[in-house]
Amino acid sequence: MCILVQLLLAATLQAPAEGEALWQAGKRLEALDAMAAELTVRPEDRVLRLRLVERELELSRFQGALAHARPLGPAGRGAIGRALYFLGRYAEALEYLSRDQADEVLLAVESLRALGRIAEADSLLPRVRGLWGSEHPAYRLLKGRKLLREGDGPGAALEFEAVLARAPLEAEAHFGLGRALLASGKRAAALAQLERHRRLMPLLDRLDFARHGLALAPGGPANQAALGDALRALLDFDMRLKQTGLPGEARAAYARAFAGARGADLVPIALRAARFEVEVLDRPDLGLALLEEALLRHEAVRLRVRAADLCGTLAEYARARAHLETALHARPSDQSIQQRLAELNRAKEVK
Amino acid sequence: MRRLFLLALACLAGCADAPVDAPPLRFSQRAGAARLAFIHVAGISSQRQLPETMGAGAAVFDADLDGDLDLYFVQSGALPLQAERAGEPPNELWLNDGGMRFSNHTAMSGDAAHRGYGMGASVGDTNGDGYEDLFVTNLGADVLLAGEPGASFRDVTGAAGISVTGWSGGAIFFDPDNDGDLDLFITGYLEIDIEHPQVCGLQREGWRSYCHPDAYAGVPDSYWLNLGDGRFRDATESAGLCDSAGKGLGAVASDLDGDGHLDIYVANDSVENRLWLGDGAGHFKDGTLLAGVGVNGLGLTEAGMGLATGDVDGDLQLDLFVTNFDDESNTLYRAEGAGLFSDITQIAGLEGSSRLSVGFGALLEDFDGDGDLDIAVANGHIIHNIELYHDGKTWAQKPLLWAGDGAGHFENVSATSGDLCATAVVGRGLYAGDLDGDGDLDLVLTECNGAARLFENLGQDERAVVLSGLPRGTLVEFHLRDGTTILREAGPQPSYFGSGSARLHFSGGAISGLDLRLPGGPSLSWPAPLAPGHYRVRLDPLELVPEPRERSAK
Repeated sequence: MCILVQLLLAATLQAPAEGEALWQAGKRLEALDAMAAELTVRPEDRVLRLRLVERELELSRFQGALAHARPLGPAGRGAIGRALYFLGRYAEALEYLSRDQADEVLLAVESLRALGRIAEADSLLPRVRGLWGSEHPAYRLLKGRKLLREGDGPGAALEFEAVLARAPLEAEAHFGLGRALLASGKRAAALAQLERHRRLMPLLDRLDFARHGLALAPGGPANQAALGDALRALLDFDMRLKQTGLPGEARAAYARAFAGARGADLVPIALRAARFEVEVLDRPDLGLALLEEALLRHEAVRLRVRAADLCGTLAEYARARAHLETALHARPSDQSIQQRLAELNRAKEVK
Repeated sequence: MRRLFLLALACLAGCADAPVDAPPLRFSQRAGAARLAFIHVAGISSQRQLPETMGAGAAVFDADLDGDLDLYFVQSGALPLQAERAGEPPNELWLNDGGMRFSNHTAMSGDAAHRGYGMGASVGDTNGDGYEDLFVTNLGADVLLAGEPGASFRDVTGAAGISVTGWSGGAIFFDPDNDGDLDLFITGYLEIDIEHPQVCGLQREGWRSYCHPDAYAGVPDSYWLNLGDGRFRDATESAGLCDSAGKGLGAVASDLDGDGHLDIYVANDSVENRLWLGDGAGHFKDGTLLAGVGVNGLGLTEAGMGLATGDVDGDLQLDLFVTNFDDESNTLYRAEGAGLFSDITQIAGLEGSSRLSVGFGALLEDFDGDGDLDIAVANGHIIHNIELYHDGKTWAQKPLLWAGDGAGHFENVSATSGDLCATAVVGRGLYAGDLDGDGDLDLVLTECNGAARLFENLGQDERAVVLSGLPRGTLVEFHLRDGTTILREAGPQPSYFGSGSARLHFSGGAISGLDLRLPGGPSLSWPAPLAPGHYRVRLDPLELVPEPRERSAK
């Protein structure tokens, strides 16, 4: 998703009470219904109305948000502007979007561009700089766009590089940098950058898809694990991303998936979460802990075998043997388990 | 150099330097009077299998060689859970009886009454016998249907050696190796297990929806080389068209890098689109990255569906238009020279008006006869219950129409376009052709699980020069009395899953001469004025043979 839109969507209110319990429980549609019902009882409750509008915007209930925001007067103008924007009513949105609010000015820029009013969009760049700061990726991305369109390849390249330094997953900056290098006559560098963008895009699409899957059903363990997998794929693509918030986000997604999974559904999730700890974060101890916790909730040979392998890595041979023997008890003729046990015995003898 | 053969053509009234005024761009739906009654059956089920919502295409061509344009509609039916499909509705061939009145010829069309779970159709004379052949893509085995006298067709798939059995999307006949016969390119779409449908959407009553293409693996495209004796050979790898497992829907063959050879552009669904640059000898290399046409200007992949090519800004280079999913907008790529393109969707004024719709059929044609290319798009969402997920979106959507100014800018004229954009439909295919023989381009729209619709262009263009018989992909430069030159490309245009009329219509002004740039061949010049009318183009030597036509009664 475009960084500009992400910034806008992130700017939601902290909502309190009532239907909020349903919302926090992941029952988002029910939460909206509850809030709307409350509002019919207390139509003058502006806090509730504003909370409902924000939640409706989050769940793509733009018509609903529009209807509920209108009675808010000036306080609802930003929400109305956002709803109109996402309903494709850009000219109307421009009447409501403030040029003095950081998030709204970005939507105003995008609205103007959607209407083909490029010069007017460019004229808002100083406002964006003033509200977001001259080094913020949102500003530098817009500046890079403008320079590239004007044929200033080297200037645009500088802007896109600056964006990537702070927002390494910004697709437009990756692509724009390639185009800017091409416009600068640096064909080989451009091709390399565009190739990098090509390899990155499926991963970003996967991440986007995973996040969309969580919008309405945030409590679904499979969806949470899919988010973890998508984030992990990005970390595999570029381990420098370990220095960002991605590892933490992935770990949290796996943790939510782990907590929510039941029965046999827990097995693949525990295995993936453990692999993430081991292979990405280099924490076999935490991977093992995850697997052993999963085994307390659901017995599975695959979990036992993987736990035994990690025990081996950690030189916990007795623990490894215990896991393998339990697994072999469940599958007495499994050759891979027998082989692991034999190897464990040899390692013990050597030691 | 080929000998130039000039026919003595009288310069009639149409040669005058009359200013080209754009008449109102309006279409009127022709329903009962046209007697066309094709209804697409999608076999929609509670399983919400993705093929049910992809719709099917159509082809506009002269099946019976009587001079007017006939219609072939691809049908779907129940999903092919078993081999027996005798009870399913067939594809239908409707013959134009003149003046845009049609009769159902399906029962006499032989194997054209095919009963696959159909997707698209492509038209071309693959064996050089003078009759147009059809290639029909399916969910399941695709078929090659050889045209025969009496608007009848014979299934020659086995004899041709073509074996494509997955889920195909669009197909195009073209001659990329310049050997004089038509080869075949087919987009592969998705790997889908009909027996074990995936469940997508919120797990709540009424919320189950069609799965996003991301839920499936892609199917590779394929390229079939015409061996010239009725047989084809799978030449995908030897042609260099590898690594194309890209969820392809639309495909178009045009000389997009201006080197004189036909290239292939593939609109892929939710993954990078591909540009395959042809060398004129049947080999291709991936030119997507440097050309900048794999993603939109924001560097984002889009859900490419339909395609159209044409020179929208008068720089004598082919630009590229792709229809996409909602929240993406359709995308217009402007050729910048040297094979590079820029996404000018926003500058062109096309962004905002197409962001909320899901675009399928795409046309770049001069509908109002002012010499500038206009854009028409059929829209309709994939998700039947999309309003549950976004309360500003709907499954059925209105088509959109933009009038071009010839300089790369477009104005949304949908609201004043008459019937065309008045009704929301689950639009899929959109094809152009002069169905009533009055010189302007009429429209055929296919709806997913609904009736095909005909829209008569109310323009009645007396000034049109119509050229037929041009090799597909031929670029024609019309030199006008006022000193300007306008570029047009010979069709057929594939739009989405289909084939528009291959006839080239031009009505941009009084023609003082023209140049033909044949794919892989020499340029041919016609240095004399050309009066309005229909001409059959013959090559070697170049002849423009007038084809007298009776005006159709309205």
